Amino acid sequence: MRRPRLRGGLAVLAGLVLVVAAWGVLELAPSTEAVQAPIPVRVGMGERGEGRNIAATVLDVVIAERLTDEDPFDPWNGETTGQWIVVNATVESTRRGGSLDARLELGSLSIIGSGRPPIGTSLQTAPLEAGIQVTGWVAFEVPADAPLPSTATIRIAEGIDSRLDSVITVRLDLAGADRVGEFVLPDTETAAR
Amino acid sequence: MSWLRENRWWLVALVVLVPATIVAALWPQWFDYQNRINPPVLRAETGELVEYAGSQWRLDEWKIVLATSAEGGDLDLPVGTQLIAALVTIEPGDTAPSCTASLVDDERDRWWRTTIGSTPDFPGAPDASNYCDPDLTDPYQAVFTWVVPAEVGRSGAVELAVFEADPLILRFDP
Repeated sequence: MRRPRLRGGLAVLAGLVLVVAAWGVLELAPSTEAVQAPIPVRVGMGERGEGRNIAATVLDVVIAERLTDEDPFDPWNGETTGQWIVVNATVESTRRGGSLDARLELGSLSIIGSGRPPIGTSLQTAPLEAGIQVTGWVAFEVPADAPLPSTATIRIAEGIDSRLDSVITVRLDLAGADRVGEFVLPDTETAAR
Repeated sequence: MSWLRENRWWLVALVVLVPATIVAALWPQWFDYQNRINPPVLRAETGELVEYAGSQWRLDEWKIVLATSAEGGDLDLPVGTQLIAALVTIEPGDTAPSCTASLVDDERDRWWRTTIGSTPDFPGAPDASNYCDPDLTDPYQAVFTWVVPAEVGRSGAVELAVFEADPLILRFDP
């Protein structure tokens, strides 16, 4: 008479263990966001970072109060209530043409490269083609109330959807960056590597 | 043991049917995916009419313009690049096609999109379109141009992709 009761108890126990194990697996499983996260290629300033679909070299960083361009007749007026962080880089697509997506991680803020500078003066709006390098500046408009930490990180990807694809990641030294009142954005330059 | 023996055929069925169901469910998607990343290649001679997506396509002429040439200077090509242009005749079928034409290198790991604005002259086709025009139902000519690194040389093939059809690589030897 005791054996069936024992077996029943064991079955209940085994069932509970399995439910707890299933919960554990569910908790341990990475989120979709983590599974599809971009793959960072971390390099230093001046070093070329090459991923699956994009390569980039970050060359310089400047903090400016306002921006303008080289147009002698109708110069662009890049006023801001905050400040600009402008980053100089050489970028190329390594597989298919596309567009650049540069983001600046500034403390808890993630700022996308500004679309305000005129076409032809910003890397953010420059078309990318395989094996053809584009050199220029990308500007990030930092809100007035955002504190400026001593370092920031720029993330350069091809296209806005960088899931499971490469992101060139470079740490920027903002404390050591040049600070200017006005910065003139030169035209981007294109040349095969 | 007796339970296993009693249910052995069900277990065998389970072992066979579960993988079979997974394969049957994923096979069409896998096939589509393979077709997209590795399109079939159709080798065609210059001047030869080929059929794709219900229309007829013919490469009439290639032109390569180096950045270092006078014409390359006129077209303001970037340093170290060349422009490859293809004059293509399109004879639309029942539906005039919308298409993209990419240049793909020999290793098939680099693609270039058509460039607008730098079109060299094809004296025989002064009125050629520079895209697949879905409004044209009569045969017409289109010039597709690509700006590529000079090292691509004279190699490469055109990957045509008509909306709603699998892409096709037309390998023309320039």
